[in-house]
Amino acid sequence: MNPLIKFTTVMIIALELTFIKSVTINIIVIGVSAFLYLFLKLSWRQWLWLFILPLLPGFGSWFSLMYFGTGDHVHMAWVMLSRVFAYLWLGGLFTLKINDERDIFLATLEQKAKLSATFVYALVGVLNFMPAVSQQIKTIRVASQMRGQTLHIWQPQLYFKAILSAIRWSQNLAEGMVSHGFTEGAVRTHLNVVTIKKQDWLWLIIILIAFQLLLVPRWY
Amino acid sequence: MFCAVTDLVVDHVNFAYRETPVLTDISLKLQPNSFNLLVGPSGSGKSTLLKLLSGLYPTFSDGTLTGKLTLDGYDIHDIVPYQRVAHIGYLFQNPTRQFVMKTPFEELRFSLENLQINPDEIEARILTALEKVGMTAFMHHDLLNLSGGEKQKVALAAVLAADSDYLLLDEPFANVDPVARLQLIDVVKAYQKKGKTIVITDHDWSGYTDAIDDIFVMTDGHLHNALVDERQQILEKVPSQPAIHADLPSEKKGIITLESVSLSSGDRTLLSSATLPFPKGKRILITGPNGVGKSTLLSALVKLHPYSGDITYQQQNIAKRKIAKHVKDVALVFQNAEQQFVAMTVEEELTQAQTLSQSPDLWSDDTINQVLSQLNMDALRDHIVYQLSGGQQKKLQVLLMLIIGTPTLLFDEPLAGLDNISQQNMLNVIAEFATRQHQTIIMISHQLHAVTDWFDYHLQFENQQLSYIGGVS
Repeated sequence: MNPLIKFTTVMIIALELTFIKSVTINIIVIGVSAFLYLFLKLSWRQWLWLFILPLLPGFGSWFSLMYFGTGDHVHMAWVMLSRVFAYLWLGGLFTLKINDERDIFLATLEQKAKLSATFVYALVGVLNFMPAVSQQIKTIRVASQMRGQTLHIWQPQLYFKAILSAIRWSQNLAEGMVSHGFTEGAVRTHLNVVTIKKQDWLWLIIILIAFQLLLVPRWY
Repeated sequence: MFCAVTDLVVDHVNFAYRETPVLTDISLKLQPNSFNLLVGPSGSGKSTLLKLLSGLYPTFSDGTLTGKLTLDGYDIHDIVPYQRVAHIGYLFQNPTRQFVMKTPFEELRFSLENLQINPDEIEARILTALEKVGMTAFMHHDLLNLSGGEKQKVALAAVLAADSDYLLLDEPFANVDPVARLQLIDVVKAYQKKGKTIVITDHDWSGYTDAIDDIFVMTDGHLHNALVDERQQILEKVPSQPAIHADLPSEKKGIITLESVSLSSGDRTLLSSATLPFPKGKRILITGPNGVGKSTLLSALVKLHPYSGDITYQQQNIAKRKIAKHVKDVALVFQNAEQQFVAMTVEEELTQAQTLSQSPDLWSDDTINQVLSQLNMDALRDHIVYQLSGGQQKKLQVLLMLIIGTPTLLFDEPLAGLDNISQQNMLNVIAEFATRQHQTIIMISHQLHAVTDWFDYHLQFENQQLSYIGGVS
């Protein structure tokens, strides 16, 4: 499935979940996501994250509603707990695979969603830069240690250097892009033309309709 | 729509940062379809001129331009980038600053898509260009993991693929090993024969004898056509593999020792099970082809790159030493000078180094002044370090690290991008103070002609092996 279509599906369902006060629906969403994860071949680390990440916000809101809430607070406590899990498990369907699908996602944004190429390539630049950031901070620290100066985590000078190198990096990125002939607002050709399959649209419609049907019994 | 020859006019051009002139009254006439060499000392304004010709300046600088700088009658910096690059390609002195994408393939594709090349042609062009520079095997590797020389080759491939009429190359071979360098000069020459015009800056003049049409000399922001004897001097430089005079170490112990050390980068094995000492108080040269793992080795010695086996410093396993303590004894002079700066101006940097020096008595104000003038840097004290030229940054960085006085100093290509005189001055300064501070020097360099008699020992890094060579002359 094209990642942009997947993204749209996930976003629409997540938006609807915000207004639905049903534990059952949330559990169905979690269950369907879990079923799909079985095919996505997650690593045990990713499974661990899926279980641990929602715990704090989930139980946080559960406790506050359970013990300090008013009105229909017991039901709402369970709704909130299951909703946090539903959001994260649903979102995970998109985000956990985005590393593999990043290029095609960005290409779809540029070619199909007609997002400005400047925006898309700035994003590409930032994403390429991310892995370098922690290495960069480490290098800055060691480089200044070699100059006899230890920069600690709490010292502003470390961040001053980091920000300075980020600013210089963004200038370099802009200059680098222009030196490659990148022109704001100009037409570009594309080596890989993105096509969204009819099938993908079909799935989008089927999933959304199926989800609406779930709502018919008025569980909320 | 396109004329056969585009007309580049550089007429009475001046360029200045606020009050400080960088280029003064420059006029330049390039013969169509010619190969031009632009020479001059570090900081004389060569890069600035090329950036102006490429249209990146004055837009990406805060300087002001006066005079006529046009392409077919249009101001160069007013032409939209994708049309401009079709006519004028420019290769940055520091390739990492030019890279936008993650892999060589994506980098070239990005450029060709911008130039609106027909998608059917793009892949073939990328492959041809990468093949010319010998980087096809690394097409889908992460650019971050490539060596300095390999990055320069990829950057060159990118400008070759763009197929511009004018090609401006700023020190394209500074980090490239001598063998590859000559091959790349041939590649550029072949490109020129397709009817293109080349301008290239280089401090190493060897290998150009048969290639050059015109030579331009930049001194202090003034440009002139090379005089007969200047031309003679440059054209006489024949490429040679200078013999490095070094002995085989007799020491069995070293200040640093490797025991069965292996290194890898990504899925490439760089060094397999090396055991050898780095003798104390000596100057040791490391040479080897691009991408063999020289920089990675130095990074491992300062605990910035993982390794297997044991590295010891004065019989202590460095794995057990805290990095803050370790780098007080073993410091790396990074390939990229900017990484080593901690302040804004040259003056502030010098004061910082002086306060934290391990031999404060040696580094009096007078000594520093004297060294600054020896390096031709005395007028730059109030300059911002990030606005110095590539060569000036390098000189400052080396000086700062010498002032700190770390017992063992690792240098990663400190001579790259420096003119011959600056190289000699730099080596003299390092030699004088390393001796006075009893320092051990380990240095990577491709600039062999400058260092034939400078080193005590010579380590060759090749085919995943490190070995001392020399001894017999």
